Amino acid sequence: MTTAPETAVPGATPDGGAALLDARGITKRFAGITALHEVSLDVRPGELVGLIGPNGAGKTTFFNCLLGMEHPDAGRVNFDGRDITNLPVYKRARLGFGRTFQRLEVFVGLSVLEHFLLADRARHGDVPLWRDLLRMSRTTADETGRADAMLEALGIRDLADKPIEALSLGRSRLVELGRALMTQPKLLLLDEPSSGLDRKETAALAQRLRRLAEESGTAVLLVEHDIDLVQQVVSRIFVLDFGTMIASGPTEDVLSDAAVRKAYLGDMV
Amino acid sequence: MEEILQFGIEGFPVGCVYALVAVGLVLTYKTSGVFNLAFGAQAFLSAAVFLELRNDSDWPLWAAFLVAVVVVGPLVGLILDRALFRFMRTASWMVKLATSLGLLVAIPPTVQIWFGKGTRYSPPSVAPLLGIDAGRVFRFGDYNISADRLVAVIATLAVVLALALLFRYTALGLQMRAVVESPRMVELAGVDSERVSMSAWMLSSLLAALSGVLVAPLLTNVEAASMTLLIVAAIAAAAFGKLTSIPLTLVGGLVLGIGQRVIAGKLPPNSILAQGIRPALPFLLLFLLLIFLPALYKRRDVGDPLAGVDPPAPALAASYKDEQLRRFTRMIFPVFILGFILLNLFVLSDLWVFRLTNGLVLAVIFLSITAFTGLSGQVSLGTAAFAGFGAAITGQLASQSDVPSWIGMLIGAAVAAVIGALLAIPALRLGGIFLALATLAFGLMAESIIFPLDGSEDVLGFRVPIFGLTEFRLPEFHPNVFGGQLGVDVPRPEGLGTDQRFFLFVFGVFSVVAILVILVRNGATGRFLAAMRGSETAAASIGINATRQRITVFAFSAAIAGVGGSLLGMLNERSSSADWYTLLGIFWVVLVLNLGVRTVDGAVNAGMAFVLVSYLIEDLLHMPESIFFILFGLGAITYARHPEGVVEFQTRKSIDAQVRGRRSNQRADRLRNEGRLPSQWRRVSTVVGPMMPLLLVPVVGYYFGAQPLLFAVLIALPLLYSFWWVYCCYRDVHAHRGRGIAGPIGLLIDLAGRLVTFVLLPMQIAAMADEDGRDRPIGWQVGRAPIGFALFGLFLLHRSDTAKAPEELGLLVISLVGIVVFLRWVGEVQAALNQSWLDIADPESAGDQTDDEASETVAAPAALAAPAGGS
Repeated sequence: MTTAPETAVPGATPDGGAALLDARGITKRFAGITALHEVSLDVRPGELVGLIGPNGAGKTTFFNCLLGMEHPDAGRVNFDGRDITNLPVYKRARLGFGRTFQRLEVFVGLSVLEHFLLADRARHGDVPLWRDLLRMSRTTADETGRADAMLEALGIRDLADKPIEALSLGRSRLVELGRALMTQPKLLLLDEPSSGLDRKETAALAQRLRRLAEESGTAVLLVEHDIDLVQQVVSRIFVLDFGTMIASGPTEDVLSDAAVRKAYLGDMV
Repeated sequence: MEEILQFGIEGFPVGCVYALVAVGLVLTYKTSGVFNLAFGAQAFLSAAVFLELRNDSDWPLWAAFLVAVVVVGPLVGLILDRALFRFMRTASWMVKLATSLGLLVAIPPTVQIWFGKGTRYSPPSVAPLLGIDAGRVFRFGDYNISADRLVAVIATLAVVLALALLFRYTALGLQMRAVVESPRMVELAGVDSERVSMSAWMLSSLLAALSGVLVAPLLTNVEAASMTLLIVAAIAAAAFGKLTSIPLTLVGGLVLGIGQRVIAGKLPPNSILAQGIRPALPFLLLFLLLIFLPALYKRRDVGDPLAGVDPPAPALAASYKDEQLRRFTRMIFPVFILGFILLNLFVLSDLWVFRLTNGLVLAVIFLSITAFTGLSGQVSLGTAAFAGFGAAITGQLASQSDVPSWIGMLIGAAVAAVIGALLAIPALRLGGIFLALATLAFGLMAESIIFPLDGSEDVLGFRVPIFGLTEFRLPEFHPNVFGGQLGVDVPRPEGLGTDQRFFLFVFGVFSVVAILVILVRNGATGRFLAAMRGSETAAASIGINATRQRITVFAFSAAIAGVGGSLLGMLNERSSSADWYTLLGIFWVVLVLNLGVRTVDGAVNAGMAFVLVSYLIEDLLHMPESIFFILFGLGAITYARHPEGVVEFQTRKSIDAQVRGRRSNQRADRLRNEGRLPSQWRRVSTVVGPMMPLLLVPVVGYYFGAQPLLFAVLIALPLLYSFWWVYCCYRDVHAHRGRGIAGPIGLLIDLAGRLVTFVLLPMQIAAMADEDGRDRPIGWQVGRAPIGFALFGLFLLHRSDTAKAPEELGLLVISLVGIVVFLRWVGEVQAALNQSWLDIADPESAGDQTDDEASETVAAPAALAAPAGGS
């Protein structure tokens, strides 16, 4: 069990494999409070990584820095060899970030199918207005095909034309996941995906995530409170507490580490 | 140097007044989330009251001051909060904006009508209240300051001190600051947020009233325009204070007041720029602040964290149509269009063709609002400027380079698009209210500086001294792009000069623009914007570049406005800077928002409504034009109840009614086949049919003049039939209820108080349903339309020239509309009765067609399970 590794070569991990996502020394201050202090994290291609920690530890802030919704005061974020520290959110999405939200963010007023079609179209970049005027931007058969395949894979074929606001939370979460996956991300960032789900739904989610990583090689970074889910899914965990990374390493090692238990897990046997 | 200091001292007091209003702005914004653009209008109101009481009614100074400032001010604030903004606590910023814009548009003309039109001069000085002689001039060393100015400064400092103490040391102050964050959460903590907001409104209105009274003697007159512009200076000062810091707001006001005076003093006295800089500087400063100050442009209008529990907006009405209705619409639509065109080409008088063309031209301009606001959900208040650019360029090109009008129109559109894009690039990082303010600032800058420039003066011709030794002179620049103050002629296209041919041209342009808007809405841009409206964060997370999308659609909308403006210029064959004043653009936006901003339908309705109501008020009712602004301003206030627009709402209601009517008939057929059809059931068409001859009366009257005998027949028979029908309704209801108003008595009531029946009968039907334990099929509200129309008709007859009444086309149309309203009421009542009888005879199939109690809210077809719940 090690603390966050300091490696000489940027983007390289101790095993020598190039990291897909490599955040180093992220520091963020808010009006006198240091929310994050020199936090580092890395995710390798196709890997499933978890980020846990008590409430208020800075998980959301760190997450936002990775996504581009906040700018760190110090540190760098590298993705696939590129420095993306100052890149706006939408550009990161086009480079291969996909994400879901803790508080559901769906396109109210659109149907489930439209969510998927949009994500598919959006990843290719801006659409010039003149194409609309010449009716050249209509949905293609390929796009419909891919969206159908995603609906099938998530088991929500029957919900295709339903407006998103008519769906339950669990189903809406699935749509969010599908929407993120439609952009064919290299890295999927999930923000507390189990909140509001029951045990059955959480188990289904775990299974889905594992299968996803196996089949498509998408890396996953999971921010979570539900330790069961984390244990079932990820191979490596990072633990954040009071703005510093107090532990990182393979799942079982971290979860049995004394310091982690004291801070977060509460001295369970 | 002394000169500048003198200018500074002169500008300081006006700056203080700006600061006062600005503080009030920040206060209401912080406590109720409303950026009250109408504070300037409220200031105007109090100033007018003060002047009226003191000068015209000879009240003592202190009494007039007390009433105008301490009574009227807070009273208006109280009314605004209790009657309006209280219902909008968790509404979107657009609803709040539309309402305050409606007030901005409606209050000044109301004041003008109440107190008599025009500018009022010699506003009384407030100085004597402090024991200072009104005419006295104070000397500080080499500098002078008048009594009025001194009083303004003293008053402001006292107020600011009191406010600072209020916020810091009192419970109320703390509560005020908490309420804006989340009224609902604060209520959970046991604070009465309604009372806090009410106090804030009263306090801010008091400040507005005080500033109106203080600034009037400094401007030597009391007029709506200067007061209304006071608000923009206040907004700029508030922006300077980042909407959070009162001391900085004060500084902002001072900077503005002093800056205005200094710059105006340094420019050549009669130049357009000097005249323009005074009003324009606040806008310029506001614009720059909004764009460059991170505290402002990074600020997301954070909604109430608990606001997510409100239901989402309903889908477009058209999506509720079933297949039969859709086919019907598709068939009828081309017929309707063809009819409209033929009517204009061959039947209507030139005057009417001109009017309808005007409506269509406005519809084109309004399509720019549909394109931007409807698609992106953002508001731009600079539409008038872009329309003006289009018109002026078309005119200039035609007069200076003989460019054909239609080409000039396209070039004008392109120029407007470019200007729009340039404006958009910095401004569209802002969102919500701040973007609206930035576009407002731009429109006002255009109005006061860009349009009036006529090439006669050197715009950059001021000298910049360098270290007192030499001067730096900027190169000469004589722009005359937009016609200057005199304006420019805008010719109609060759060969299309007659009203009829120009109508065809406009119709063609409108059709093209409408199609383009629909293509964009259905295209990728429209879909991306729809996603952004749903959740901008999520849209970014899938790769949508929100800013770029908005810039694109803003430029597109600016181009459309340019086209519309060119058409308007061609219609009037003239364009001058006075045609494109910003308040008009604001008015347009409010109108389209009210009627329906998401559909082409809404734009057309808005254009026609503008023209027809104008006609109604000026030509038929002979009332002053300001009534028009008041009506629409007040109309804006109802926007909160129907944010999707009146047109959408009515369309949805009528589609719903048609679908329900068909289902009801199917039910009746089934029951008839089973032999169980209740005897009281009557098919709606057989009831309304015999009453339809009423429609012939106005038509005959219009074409053939008054024909007493024929009229007697045409009116008497349907009327007798309707009495008989009403009698039957009362009789049937009474029989079922066993009590209530019996048949003959009902008939008597009907005859005696005809108007009463319009609400009484529906109430009886509703009561009957209550007694049976069924859902109400109808409510008393359906009676509002016929009663309202009847009263309006009486008023109309009173106001118009009854001698030539039958020949007046407008009266024809209005009478027809009135009769249709009546027939519709009959249809609704009969349908409700049918439903009642069917539900009684066959309770199992009841429930799929009930009307909501007030028939005002129609639920969306999809189940609205809030995303925070179970399956």
